[in-house]
Amino acid sequence: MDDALFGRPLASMAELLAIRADQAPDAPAFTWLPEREGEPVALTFAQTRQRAHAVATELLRHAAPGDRALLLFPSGLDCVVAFLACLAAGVVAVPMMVPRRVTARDSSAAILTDCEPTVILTSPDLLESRPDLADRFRADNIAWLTVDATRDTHSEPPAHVPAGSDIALLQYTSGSTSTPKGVVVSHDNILANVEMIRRQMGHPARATNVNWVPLYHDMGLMMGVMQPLYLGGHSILMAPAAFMRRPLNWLRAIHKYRAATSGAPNFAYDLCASRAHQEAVGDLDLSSWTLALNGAEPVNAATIERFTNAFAPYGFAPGAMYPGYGLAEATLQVTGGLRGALPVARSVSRDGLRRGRADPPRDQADSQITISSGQAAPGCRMAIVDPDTGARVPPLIVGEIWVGGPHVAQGYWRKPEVTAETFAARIPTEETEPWLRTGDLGFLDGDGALFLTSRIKDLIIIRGMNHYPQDIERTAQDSHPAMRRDCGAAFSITEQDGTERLVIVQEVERTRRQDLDVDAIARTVREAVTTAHDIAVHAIVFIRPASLPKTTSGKIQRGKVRLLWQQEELDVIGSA
Amino acid sequence: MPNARSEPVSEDAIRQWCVAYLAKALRLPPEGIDHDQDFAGLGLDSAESVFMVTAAEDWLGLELDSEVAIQHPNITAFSRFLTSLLRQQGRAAP
Repeated sequence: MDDALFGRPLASMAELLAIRADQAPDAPAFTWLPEREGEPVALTFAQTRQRAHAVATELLRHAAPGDRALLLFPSGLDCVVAFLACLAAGVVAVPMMVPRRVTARDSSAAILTDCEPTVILTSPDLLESRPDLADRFRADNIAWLTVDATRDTHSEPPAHVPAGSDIALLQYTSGSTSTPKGVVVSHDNILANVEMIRRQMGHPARATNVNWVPLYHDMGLMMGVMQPLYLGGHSILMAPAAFMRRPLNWLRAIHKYRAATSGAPNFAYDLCASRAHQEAVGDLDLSSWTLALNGAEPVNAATIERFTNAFAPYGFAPGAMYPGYGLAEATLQVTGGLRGALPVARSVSRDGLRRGRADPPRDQADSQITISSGQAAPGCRMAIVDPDTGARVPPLIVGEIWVGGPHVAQGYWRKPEVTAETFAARIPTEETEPWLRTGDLGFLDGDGALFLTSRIKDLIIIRGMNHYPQDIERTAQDSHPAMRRDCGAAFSITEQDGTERLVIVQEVERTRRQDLDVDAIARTVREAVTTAHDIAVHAIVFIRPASLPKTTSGKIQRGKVRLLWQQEELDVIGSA
Repeated sequence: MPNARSEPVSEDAIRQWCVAYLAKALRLPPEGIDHDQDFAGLGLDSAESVFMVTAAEDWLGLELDSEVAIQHPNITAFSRFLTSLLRQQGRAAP
């Protein structure tokens, strides 16, 4: 019965919510699991619709369709209701991470300036526990509305009905701290991508999903809210902090609710495997879990093996592990595998990869196991091209991943130049729609399976969160006068176990070289970077002035710095 | 709680536990860990600090807020705070 809905033209997910609420008013839609004691809090489809409509009506008293509403929420039902209310009202939702108390330098102020919200939606609890937020976002022309998902209210559908081409949300996951870029996602983009995901992942109707990935993150929002709603399934939500504190509680939730799908970045699988060795796993049956999405950061072969070995005794099927690739600029999903099939691994030459070729390895030491992120989703165009010429490259040659299709977003909010560069690429000699340049590098095998290799933009991904090296370098240089401006490189390295770690290589001022207290300065830099960006610094290396590799035009060659660091060929003054 | 202990624990024992924990988690020599250095300065990000708080919960059988290591941001302050909680339960050793 439900299947008739899939692929049918709909104007928005809000319309879909209304249909779901008519079809199965009393079926559970969203359930929140509190971190400690206390019963789970559930909303049925009818309750979800009713509360979203009530907030939408209230929202339209303060904002016009097309205005922006900032969503300032910890994960939870309030956030879900607020987001769906924005969709129903045609007000553009701007999900944002709640700024940490200790951080002065984050992207929140720049996002506020960039998207010019009319309204800030938040939860009563957050407003009470974090009075600093009202000060941080103080502005005369912004209204604050609190959303309480548990409050029973009656409401009619909002007067305005958005069109499919209208903007649904701005996703600020790209761009540096100082110049964040909001990806413009339309209602049509969301609808196109949920259908692609359903077809590619082979989700059954009403599949139950467990999600702890933050809801301001594209993966959390799409997998935890949009996809379950589309399938008419039950979405079980947990706080990211609850996962971090007790990783195995994620798996216990999958067991308890007999979830078919649940996904997380690679590090989460690693963490669970480690915990399984340290503590008693207890009664756990993961046999219902047939799709374990692994995305949002590089997928590691060793992690997959460790996780599968640790949890196969608890019913985890090796074929459930499901690596995927996506980005906010394509709403979310770009590639994925075949449900139930083992992840595709390929051994390639490390040396070859450095030269942009996926050659067979010479010997064991030269071998690197890469895991495929799967094939392009149905309806998604994908090409691997030479980033300089835009020409397609053959299989097994590394190039930039270009993507096209109805899920590709409309551009970056109010940034026409960057939008044109990123969203309107052309392949010479081909007459097709424009392509999205992802900035990611990879190669295809003979079957069209994608293998990611690295990023053009030197993006640092740690625990699924994107960090821009420029931001980290600037923080390091600002933290101590002995640091030379614009003469540092931040990059990540992958350890044997697949963990990504941050390394900073930094030139020291000529005048300060004699009296340099390496340990003291390293402490200062570490503290500044961890406080501002919330990443641990694995290694800090101070090098001689003018010894950092740069291009002739003065650009920092971070890839080369990484190579020199690994080969211990930097001109080191001291390190910590 | 798997490792929760009921016998009294001293503030000094908590400090030593912190040093041992941080040395292992951050791969630092224990003798180089300054008790008054901010956790962030030692390289403890918020995820790692949550792990430390959880481990302290398990060890001491306390319920702690995720942010305690941010509110009490070094070994001295953190240990003093945990000791005050234990004292309320009559479980702090002199």
